[in-house]
Amino acid sequence: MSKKMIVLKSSEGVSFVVEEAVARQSKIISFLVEEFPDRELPLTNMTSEILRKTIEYCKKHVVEDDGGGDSSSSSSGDLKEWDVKFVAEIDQPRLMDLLMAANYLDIPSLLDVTCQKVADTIAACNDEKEIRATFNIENDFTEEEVEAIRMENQYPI
Amino acid sequence: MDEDGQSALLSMSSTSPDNTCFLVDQDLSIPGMEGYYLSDLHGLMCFSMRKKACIYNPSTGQRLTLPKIKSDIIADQEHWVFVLEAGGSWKKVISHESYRPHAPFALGQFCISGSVVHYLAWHDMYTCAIVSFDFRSEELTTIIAPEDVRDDMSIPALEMRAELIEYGGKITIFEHSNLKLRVQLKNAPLDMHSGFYILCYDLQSKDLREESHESKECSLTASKVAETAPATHLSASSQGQNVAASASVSTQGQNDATPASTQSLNVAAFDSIQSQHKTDPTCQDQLATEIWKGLPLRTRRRRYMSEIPLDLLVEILIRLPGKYLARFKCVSKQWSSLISSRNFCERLLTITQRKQQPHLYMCLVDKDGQSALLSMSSTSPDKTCFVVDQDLSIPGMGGYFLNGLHGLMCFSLGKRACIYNPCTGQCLTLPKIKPDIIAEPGQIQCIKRNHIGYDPVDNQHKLLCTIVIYSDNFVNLKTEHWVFVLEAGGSWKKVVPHENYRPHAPFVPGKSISGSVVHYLAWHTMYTYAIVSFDIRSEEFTTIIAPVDVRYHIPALQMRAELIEYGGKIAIFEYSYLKTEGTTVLWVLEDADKKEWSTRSLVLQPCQMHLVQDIDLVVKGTTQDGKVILAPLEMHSEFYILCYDLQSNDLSKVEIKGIPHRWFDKECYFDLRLVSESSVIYLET
Repeated sequence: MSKKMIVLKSSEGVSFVVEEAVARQSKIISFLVEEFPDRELPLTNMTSEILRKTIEYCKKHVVEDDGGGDSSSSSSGDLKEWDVKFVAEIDQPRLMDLLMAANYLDIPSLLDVTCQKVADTIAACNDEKEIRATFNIENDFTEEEVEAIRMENQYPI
Repeated sequence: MDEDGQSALLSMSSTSPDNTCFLVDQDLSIPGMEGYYLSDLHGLMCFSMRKKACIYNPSTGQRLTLPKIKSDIIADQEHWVFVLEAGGSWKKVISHESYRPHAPFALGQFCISGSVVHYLAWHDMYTCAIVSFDFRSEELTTIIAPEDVRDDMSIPALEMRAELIEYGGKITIFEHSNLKLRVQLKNAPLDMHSGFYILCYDLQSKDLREESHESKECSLTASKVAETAPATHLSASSQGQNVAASASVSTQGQNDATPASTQSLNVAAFDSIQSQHKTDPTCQDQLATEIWKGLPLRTRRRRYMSEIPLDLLVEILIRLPGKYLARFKCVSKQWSSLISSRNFCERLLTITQRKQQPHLYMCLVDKDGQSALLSMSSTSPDKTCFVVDQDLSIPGMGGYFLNGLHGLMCFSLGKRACIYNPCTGQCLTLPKIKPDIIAEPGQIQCIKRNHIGYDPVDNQHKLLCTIVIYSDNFVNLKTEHWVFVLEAGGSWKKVVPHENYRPHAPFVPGKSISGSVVHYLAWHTMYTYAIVSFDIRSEEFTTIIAPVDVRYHIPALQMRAELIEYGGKIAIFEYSYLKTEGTTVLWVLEDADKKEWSTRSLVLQPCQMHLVQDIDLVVKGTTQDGKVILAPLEMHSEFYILCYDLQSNDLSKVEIKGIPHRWFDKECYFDLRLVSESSVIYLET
């Protein structure tokens, strides 16, 4: 039995042909496929690069339910390891893009790993200055305000 | 100009020969003036004043407000010209056939060479052009700007920062999107702040200098800018040739650090941007808006964290360990208010209960009054070993009776109660209570017990303090209860008991189950004990007498029992005969209103009897998955605790490592509590 394929189109107009089961991990695509069968789905807020990454993730995480013995080709431990490697290879700006894509497409597990990776990156920063620099955050505090917050958190170090 | 519409026009002059500082020397403000889009020629300035263009000569003080333009169109573009002479009026510019509508850059500078005005404008989200208007012939010409091929970086309209400058007598586009992005120069020139300054970039020498307007601070920012300055580049000239690297920005070109917000692009943009000495091509501003909606936003550069929707930011922050959160409040106002919000605290509690590795906290105090508070975490996924990871000791801390809720811990500090948040390090010592009951001669037994609870309706944490005085065998038992609301200006208030209230003495050493109701076990008499429940919101007590075991009738001093949560219900775990017979009894309160109990007896597997035989054990609460934690009564080296799985009747050993040696093999008290929550709750006082 041949698998049903669907076509996703990136913001640059590049088409990606994907197995339906793979794409259906996105709740949004799952909904769109039912509403508009046999149509190309334009994902205008996603670059080809990010869409390719997202599909790569979905392919790895698709659950084969055709009843074969190969149904659990990768154990949950392997999968977790793969996830860690997957996000580790992505640089900071693209990670944020991927996070937004996971949010937009509504892929909970991808959102989880990307959020976790961003959180880990924050945790690895030494101080708030490093966080601001890493994530392009404006410092809208005065020195006095920062001092006041520090007073609240006299963490014994 | 500020958001309330107040505005000012300030004149500044250089005070130093090398032009590194400008000081305000005159206030030229005119009522009703708007600050945006200052343009000038021959000493005449042009700015917008409520939808009208205004020409101002600072030397003579002459001010000329031009009439409003009555536009023919709404969603297209028009250019109008006003000749500044007696009887002048607005005249519409008739466009060529080849004319394409364009949206001038917001915050845009113009460039005048001879009788031609040049400015940068967008045709669509990714195409910008130099638009030139000849004042003599009143004709518009456009030259599409070359695309930047580096890094595949097409910068969409709203993110592009570029300006026309005059470079070596030629019209040049100075594109500095990356300069601003990398150093967040946006901080400086876009928003007004104290220590305001502008920067001058000498493209010939690649030297960036700061020009202070108040001549103070900002050296940090300036040096940061200098580091990344080589990343800027010149992308094009008006002839369409790429100019390699160096050029010189005239002071004028960089000088205009007009405080304005980027949002104004779609709003009032074009009234005055091109208002000229002689001519004023004006257009409607809808173009940019339409382009903005019509084209997808391509993101090929670093995002600002502020672009991340708030709910996603919550998802990220919620994954950080609590102690980081408290510290990272000083990243930005957005982060701070988010982390402090009640919703966030509640989400954090639910998520940490589910996900976070629990911490084991241990209070120790010896006979000499030395004390310590240690934090321990599990090193192995199966939680067979906990290792001390932090020493959180506070001077003067008392070791016994560790109770907690929502990551807040409550223990005694001398005769006072102390609330401690290991996440933030906040430590709150409450005032002493002056009890009304006093011990009579011969009454020596005195218990003071603190329990922390939470009123979800008023979002308040409260501390319940129970003071008990009694003689031996619970003769002449007197109790008093006090409540402290943990809020600014809080104080101890005595709880007024109901008519049917009976004095009771809490179990020693007793644990409580906390939440919106605090439950603990207490004795009424030598043979009667009860579950005492205190409703934090209504501040009322209810008691349910515990069922009597018909096989044994155990008096108070020999009874070992503790309140635990069992399958979501409150249960009494009675283990008086665990050491000798390996038996325990579980009394589950099935229905508190009907006072219905179910009972279950457990007998330890014979092969595990050796774990309990030679040692006195005390219940120290339960784990997240419902196992009962049993700890030895005495501290010793190679310390461990036991986890009793009541479902599978299995006892397992958990090693505790890293306790300082000075605590071993001497008389000391300690208490343990497993905390799976963490919070950044900050208690006002």
